Amino acid sequence: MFYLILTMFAGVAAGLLMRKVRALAHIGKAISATIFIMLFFLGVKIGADKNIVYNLSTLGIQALVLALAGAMGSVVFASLLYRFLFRKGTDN
Amino acid sequence: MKGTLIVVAVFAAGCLAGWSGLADPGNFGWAVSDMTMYVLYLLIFLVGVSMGCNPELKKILKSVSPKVFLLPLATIFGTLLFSALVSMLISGWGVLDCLAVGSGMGYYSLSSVLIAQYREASLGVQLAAELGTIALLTNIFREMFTLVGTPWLLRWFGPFAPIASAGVTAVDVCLPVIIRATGDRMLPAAIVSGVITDFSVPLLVSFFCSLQGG
Repeated sequence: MFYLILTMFAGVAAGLLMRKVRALAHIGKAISATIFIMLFFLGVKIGADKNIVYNLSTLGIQALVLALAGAMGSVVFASLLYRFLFRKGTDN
Repeated sequence: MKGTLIVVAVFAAGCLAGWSGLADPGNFGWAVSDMTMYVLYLLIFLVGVSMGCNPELKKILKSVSPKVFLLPLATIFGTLLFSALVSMLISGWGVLDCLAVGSGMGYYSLSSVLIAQYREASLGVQLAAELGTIALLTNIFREMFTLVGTPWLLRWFGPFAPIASAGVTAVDVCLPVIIRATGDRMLPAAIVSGVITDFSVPLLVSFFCSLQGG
C-alpha cells in the first residue's frame, strides 16, 4: 500500500549515499523529462476520451474552487502564525 | 513562467494526439499500462534521490531558526483543511480526492501525474485522468493566483501569506515575486517553506490516494 512512499525513502537514502556523485547535479533534468513523458500520456488519455473533453469546463471550475480554497486556507493559518509568533519582537 | 508554458504545451500536445486519434490509449495494451506504473516508481525514486543529494538542504536546515519550520506546517495544514471543507461543494469527488488534489501544494506537474497514475486501479482510467486534470489545473491556478495576488496577500495577510499561498513554488517560480514584495528578510522563510512543502507533496499525495485502495 505504501510502496510508493517506501520507494521515495529508498531514493532519499540513495541520494544521501551518492551525494558526491557529480552526475546527480543533473537529476532535476531527469525528473522533468520523466514528468513530461507522463504528462504527455495523461494528455493522450484525456484527449482520446470525448467525455472528459466535454467536461473540461466543469473540471476547470472545480479546480478553481480547490485552488482558491487551498491557497486561502494556507494564507489564513500562515497569517495567524505570523501575527502570534513572529510580529512581536525581532523577526525571523 | 516558461516552465509552466512548457508543461501546458506538453499536456496540450498529448491531448491533441489523443483527440485526433494519432495516439490511441486503447492500443497501448497491458504492456504499456504496466510500464507507466514503473515510470511512476522511477519518478518517485528520482524525486527522493534529488532530495537526498541536495547539498543546500543541510545548510538551510541548520541556518534557520526552528520557529520558521512552523510556516510550512501551517501552509500544509491550512491547505488540507480548506480542501477538505470545499470538497462538500464539489460534486463527484470525495474528501480524499480533494485532499489528494490539495496536497499538490502548487506542484502541478508531479501531483497530476501521480494522481492520474496511482488512482487508475481504483477509479478506472477515465476518472483517474479527470482527477489528474483537476490536480493539474488546481495547482497551476494556485501558482498563478500567487504570482498575481502577492502584493494584495502581503497587504492584507502579512509577509507569510504569499509564501504560504505559493506552496512549493515559494522556492522557485514565485520566489522572485515574493522577495520583491516582502524584501530579503523573507528569503529564508520562503526557501524553508518551499523545500518542506516540496517534500510533503509525494508523501501526502500517495498517502491520500492509497487510503482509497490502489
